[in-house]
Amino acid sequence: MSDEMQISQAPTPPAPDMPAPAAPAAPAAPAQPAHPAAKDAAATHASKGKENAPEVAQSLGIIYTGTVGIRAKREEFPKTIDRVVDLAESLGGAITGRTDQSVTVRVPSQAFRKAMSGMEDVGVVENRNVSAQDVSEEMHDLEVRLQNMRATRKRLEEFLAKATNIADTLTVERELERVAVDIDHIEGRLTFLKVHTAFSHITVNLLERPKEILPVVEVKPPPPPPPPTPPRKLVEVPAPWFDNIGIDPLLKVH
Amino acid sequence: MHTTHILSALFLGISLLASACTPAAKLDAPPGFATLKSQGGYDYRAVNAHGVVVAARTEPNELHGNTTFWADSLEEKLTRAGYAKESATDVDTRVGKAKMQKYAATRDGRDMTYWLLVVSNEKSVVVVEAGGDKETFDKASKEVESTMKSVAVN
Repeated sequence: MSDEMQISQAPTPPAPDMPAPAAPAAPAAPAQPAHPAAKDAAATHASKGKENAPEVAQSLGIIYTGTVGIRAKREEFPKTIDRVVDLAESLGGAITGRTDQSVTVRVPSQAFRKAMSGMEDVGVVENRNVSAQDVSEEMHDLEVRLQNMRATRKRLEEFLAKATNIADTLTVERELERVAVDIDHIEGRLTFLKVHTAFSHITVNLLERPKEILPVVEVKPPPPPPPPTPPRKLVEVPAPWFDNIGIDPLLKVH
Repeated sequence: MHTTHILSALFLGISLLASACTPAAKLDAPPGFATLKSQGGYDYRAVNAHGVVVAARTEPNELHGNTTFWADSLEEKLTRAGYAKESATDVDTRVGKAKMQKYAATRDGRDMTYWLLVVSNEKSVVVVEAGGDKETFDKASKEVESTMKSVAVN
């Protein structure tokens, strides 16, 4: 009878002046505050969840991101990109993006350092940049919150099973929905962080190698053509009859 | 009046004598050619029905040039006038070794053929010419060449 009382107290309909909690699962329902008993349950299990912190702490919780600039000839860009992808795949990674002048791969975080070193074999590394984002604290907090919320959900389910009137049932169910939404959100964020801490992304930007500057060879202009040979200066043969030599006077028949 | 007749007869005689002493070239008329009266400084000239002309003249060798000199001088004159020399050969004639030159020329858009034969001695230069429209000249070329080589001097 005392459990029932506790349960019955917990889902007691809220006073009209209490603020309404978020209730996405029942938007049409009237605004009602979280049941005090549910809050107590959540608070109780929050302290228990912290005991599981060492398990959460086992995760490294660091997101590594690398950027590498590799110089290559433009005509060798596709080949260089293929070599970057081959390197990532050989380390258990994969390609995640590619353009004509860049490629992004992800590799297991344990192989991140090896992948960065392997870029030296791909081409001439002009620059490199490594950033590390420590999300271990956020992951720890999320893990704790998740365990607390799961414990709360379990307690609420127990209350719901023992509820004896509709009002208590509705109140507990509404609280269960809110907890479920929170759990989904936390689980999603945790999954995101786990994926990003498990794999590191490396973006390789290809830089065009400056074209070789050929030595300037002075090309001498061709020599000017020789001036035309002036006409020969001839002494006319003093033979007046020369004027009558030729086809024109020959064919002139009077 | 009587004196006048005597003087006239004397001049005529001198003229005939002078004429008889001046060398004149002559050719064997080729078949199909008609001999023209001497005109234009030619000693001999003949033409066929298609306008091919063969002619010969004799000029005094005042410069005492040999055949080569006159041949080269005439070649110089003709090439400067636009004639294109096609060949030059030595040929035997009745008056000695001669130089024969063959030229091509263009007149009014037509291709013309002009042949020249020259031979000289101490006193005179004999020049034989032949020419005409290439199309018709080619048909009579053998007879023309034979005629040119037949040159003789009285």
